[in-house]
Amino acid sequence: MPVAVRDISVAFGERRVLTGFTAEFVEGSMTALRAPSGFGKSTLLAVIAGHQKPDAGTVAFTAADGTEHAPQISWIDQASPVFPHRTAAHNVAIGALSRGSTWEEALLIAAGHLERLGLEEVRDRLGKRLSGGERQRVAVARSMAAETPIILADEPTASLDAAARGLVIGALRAAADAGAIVIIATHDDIVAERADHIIRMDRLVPA
Amino acid sequence: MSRGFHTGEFVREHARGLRARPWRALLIALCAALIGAAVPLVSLIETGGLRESWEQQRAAGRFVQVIRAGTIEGFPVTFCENIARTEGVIAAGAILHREQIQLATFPGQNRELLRVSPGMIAIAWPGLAIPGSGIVAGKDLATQTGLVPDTTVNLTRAGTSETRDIVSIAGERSRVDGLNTALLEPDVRADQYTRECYVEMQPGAAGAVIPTLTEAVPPTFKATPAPYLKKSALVMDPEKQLPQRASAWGWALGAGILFLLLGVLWWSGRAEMALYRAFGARPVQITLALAAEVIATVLVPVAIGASAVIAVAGFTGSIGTQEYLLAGADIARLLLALLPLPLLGAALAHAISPSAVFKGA
Repeated sequence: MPVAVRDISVAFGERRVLTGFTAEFVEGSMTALRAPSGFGKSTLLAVIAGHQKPDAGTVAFTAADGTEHAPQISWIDQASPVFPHRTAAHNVAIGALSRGSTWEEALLIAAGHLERLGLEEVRDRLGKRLSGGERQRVAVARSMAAETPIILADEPTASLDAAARGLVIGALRAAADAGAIVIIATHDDIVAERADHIIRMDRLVPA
Repeated sequence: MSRGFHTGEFVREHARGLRARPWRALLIALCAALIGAAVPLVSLIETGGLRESWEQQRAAGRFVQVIRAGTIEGFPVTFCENIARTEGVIAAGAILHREQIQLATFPGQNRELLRVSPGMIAIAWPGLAIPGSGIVAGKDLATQTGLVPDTTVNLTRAGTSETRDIVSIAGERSRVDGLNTALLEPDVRADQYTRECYVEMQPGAAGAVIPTLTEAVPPTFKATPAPYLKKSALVMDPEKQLPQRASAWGWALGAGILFLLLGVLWWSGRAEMALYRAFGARPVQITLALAAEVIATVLVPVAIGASAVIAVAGFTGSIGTQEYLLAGADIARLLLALLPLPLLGAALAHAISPSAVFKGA
């Protein structure tokens, strides 16, 4: 189910953030959006997620049979919300539940993703007691468990140490290899290195 | 590819979320149980108070009506006795004849002997057993003359002397003026006439009984009914008091409190609801989950609280059929009023966009 973004324009008052942006993102690919701050990386992700209505342009999700419909999208950012009164394991398991698993299956799936993201030690810690970096990794693990076809990540490695950053990038890469469309707004060179495509928004779009 | 939450699994997931914050569910359940207990309790207390008030009024004769004949001859006492068989009538009786006598134990002073229909004993002194034969003495008369029950007394009337059995002394003061210093002798003869028929109704039966009183005596006797005591503006008719009792609205207040409480708690948890929505939970699934929450944390505790009060009241014997019916109706109204609670959650689920979670909802 490719994501086709066509002629997207967004302005906040007098400031034009995106002007006629067009791109297509295909399954099984990881795309890095790169540009200095203020060039509309996060805004583009918000438009694709449906959180931001563009002033002009369209976002189309086209299935293999040609029909268009809005798929489930995972959103990961530095303030990724978690269920504050549930453990890290439960937070991730809820992702697996959302794709139709039973609770027992979801806990097993969650255990695997927690291990992959180095969160075994905090698996029983409540969401409200997790650090910012841990919350971010839990959000990534939950998105992996949900196996959503589209993952939008806004600076997913910004508040992480080197080890955690490697785990997050590895998880996102694995999701793309499994067939997801992964779009990442990032300043991180390491993320860009692991991406299949890089879109330099500061070169494509006049600010 | 995500297939979305299974509905049953989502409802169980919501229950796990509730267990993760037990204080929240316990707070709701506690409030619901207290409201469930308070609604019938307030109803029982108020109706019990009304019953007590009616009992005091009944003792004073508030529910006694007097049918007075429009002629000097009066009307046959059988009309009065027939009224006693009307539903809602406690007793009906009449004074048939008054005469002056003298007691041998206290000579030199005239006393009054009243021949009455048997029901008049119950009208004068509610609860006093109606004797098959013999005389009942008023309280003041017994005190003054030293009469005691189960004794024989000599009395003189119209120059002749005779002995009569004193079978009972009235312990309470009579509701009918003048009887505390008199002797009452039941007379069961059917061919007697009376000018006044006293009828006592059950509290709350006035609406059914009073219309029958106007037809009880044929129009030729020109009899008209009227309250024995003048109505006080402060004393309401029991039939009007019941529907107007304040506790009749307790269920609405209780339901309002629970709606407000659940509304506030669900609104405070809207960020989590939005997160579930972001992961594909449908509004109908959220509504079903909230319905299950309402059943477990509101309806069941309300039923338990109400049942506990009814059971305790029944065990202590302080509850009558009328109170059971009133309290039961109030509980049923409360439960019915709470049934739409999940719709409040449904409105919230529809109002919250999945993306709200990323906007600090």
